[in-house]
Amino acid sequence: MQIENIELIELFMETVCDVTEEVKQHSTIRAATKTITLTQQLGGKLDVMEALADQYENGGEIKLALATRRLANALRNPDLLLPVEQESHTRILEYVYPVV
Amino acid sequence: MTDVPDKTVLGISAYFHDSAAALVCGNRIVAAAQEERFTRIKADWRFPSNAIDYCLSEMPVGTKLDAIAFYEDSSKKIDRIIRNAATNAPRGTVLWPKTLSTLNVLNTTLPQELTRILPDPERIFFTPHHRSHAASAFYPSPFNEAAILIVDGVGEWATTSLWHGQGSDISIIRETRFPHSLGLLYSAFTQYCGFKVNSGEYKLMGLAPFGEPLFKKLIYKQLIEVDPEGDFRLNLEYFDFASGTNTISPLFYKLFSYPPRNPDEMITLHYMNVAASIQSVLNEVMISQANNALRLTKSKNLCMAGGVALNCVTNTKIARHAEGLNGIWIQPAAGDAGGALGAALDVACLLNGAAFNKSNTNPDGMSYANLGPAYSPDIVEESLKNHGLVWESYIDNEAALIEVVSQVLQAGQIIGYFDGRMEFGPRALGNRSILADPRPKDMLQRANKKIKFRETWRPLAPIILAEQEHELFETPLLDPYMLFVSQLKKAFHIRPDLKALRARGLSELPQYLNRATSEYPTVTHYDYSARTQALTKAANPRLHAILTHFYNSTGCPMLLNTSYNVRGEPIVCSPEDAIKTFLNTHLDVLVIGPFLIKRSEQDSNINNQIGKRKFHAD
Repeated sequence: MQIENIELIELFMETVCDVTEEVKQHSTIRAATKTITLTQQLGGKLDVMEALADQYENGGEIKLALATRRLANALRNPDLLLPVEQESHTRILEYVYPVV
Repeated sequence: MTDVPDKTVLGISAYFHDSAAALVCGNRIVAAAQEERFTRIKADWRFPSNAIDYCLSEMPVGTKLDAIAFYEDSSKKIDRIIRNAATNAPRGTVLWPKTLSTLNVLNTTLPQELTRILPDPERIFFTPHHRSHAASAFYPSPFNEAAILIVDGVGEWATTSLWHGQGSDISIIRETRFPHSLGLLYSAFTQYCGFKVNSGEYKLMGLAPFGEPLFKKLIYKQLIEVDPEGDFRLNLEYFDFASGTNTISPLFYKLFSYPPRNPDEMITLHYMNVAASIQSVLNEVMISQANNALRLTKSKNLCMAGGVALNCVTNTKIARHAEGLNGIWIQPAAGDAGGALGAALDVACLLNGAAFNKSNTNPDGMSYANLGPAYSPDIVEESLKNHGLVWESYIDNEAALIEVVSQVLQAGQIIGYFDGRMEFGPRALGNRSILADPRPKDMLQRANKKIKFRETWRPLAPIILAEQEHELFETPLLDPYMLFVSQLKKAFHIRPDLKALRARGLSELPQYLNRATSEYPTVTHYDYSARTQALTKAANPRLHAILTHFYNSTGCPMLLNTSYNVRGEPIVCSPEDAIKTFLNTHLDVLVIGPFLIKRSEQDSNINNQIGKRKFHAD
């Protein structure tokens, strides 16, 4: 069962919109140039997004850390399971570059 | 080859487009294949379970899987996706469901899939996207030292990066980051001209010669700012890829005074001129990038990968015009599929440390891209029986097969040709190919309308005896992978040429059709360029013998060589695929391993199957 689109939009507004200003103020982005193991990527956390949230927090991006944890938590909700196959099939058929 | 450690690494690319797997043992590339070939879904993005199974089936005896290498740092990609969403909010709501599903895949599904193959998280590696491309470009190359230029749409953050390769080491020099992307810029024009992003870029490149670069100044003035060092920034007002479901914004349409072309509409001179303009800009910016790469690394060799490195027109401009360039090598699987291979090589190098010796195999470490599955005559014969086909066997007489195939080609028949290992990368290089005599004036129309079902204004490519390429083409680069174009010598041009046709006011593409501008109209474009594949005996002995026989009989050293598939279908992988495509099209003959199948000798019902299988047009 999928949750309604309106709930997705609410999730978007409550999490992502709240961190716009903070993200714009942080201009330093860590380059991805080194190969790492899954252990290093997880950094002792249960999943990648939780580990990423810790990195944000350590870098002073408190709101972004909070938003990322909320998203990670939301993704654990089985109702949020999205029709991945269908979604990505349309990537190829439509005129959208799949930047996400 | 020198003694190499035998650490075995499985490389994987997935969850974007063109998922693939590759197996590397020491510095040797053992196997590589794209998932689409097995699932029969073009550009299949899903986790490449079939390609992985195939690669693991090729594991050398006595070895075990030491590590898995994924072609991206999924953590950094999640970072880019979340930051991009936040930066553009509240715009981008429409992408939100897709964003969440991608986050879910990267956060949960991917680690689960990887640990299912190898449970130890210490042996699962994530190689950054551009590092994967850089490794795929440098380690199999013939150079011990080279500048490495990677240009694509986007991976994690990098869209263009310069690296330096030395021995067993590659190191980053600099990078340009999303949303400033040459790949996305070219894709934006692809969409504007009515072609599909991620598959229509070849068409845009093919359309460019019909036009004049009238909008070049406008593009430089409004869309892309390039500094003298070759670095660039896009004017994001004109693009929508970061937050919408379109690559371009309405401002983009206004800039060019016309709306985007509907894919069903005729291609007019306006879109030809737009295509010519962006191709010209890409050429210039890429030459500048290449110059910069050579200057910063003080190198005379250049390696390239990333989707933009599949633009053979641009590649040729770089090869001809980059300052101080001595040698250039481009990974034939330059797109994301090649990332699986690069990640595997990178981790093999990491695990083996100083003991990793860069491959010095001649001409490179790619085995002519013949890295996919091969099938025994028994398996082929079983498939032929299952389809009730009648065939001739040349199992103990290859010389006779070579002669018969040459004669069939001389008679103007079109052949589906299936032999040996499937190629890795987007090109069929003679093992999964459609072959024909390139001289008949109607061959392009026949091949496109009755077999490939693709646009008739797009030329097909030639495969040519490497020893003879100079007879037809100006200073050929003798590339075995169709990554460059060659210019046909003037002696083979036919008047009126493209310039004369344009001067007559031809403003729509159909007006150009059936106006041959060369003696080889099937395989040369209207500007006399051809995406040649130089064939050596070492690359493919049997096909080389067929082409030599054809040359000795006709004086023509080349054949039409296009991928064995129809429009929208992945290139055939198995004998079963080859037979189905043979039955689905007007191919005259199928050569599959040591067997030859003539359509004319089959049951009269065979033609009932033509056109029954449909694929989404690319």
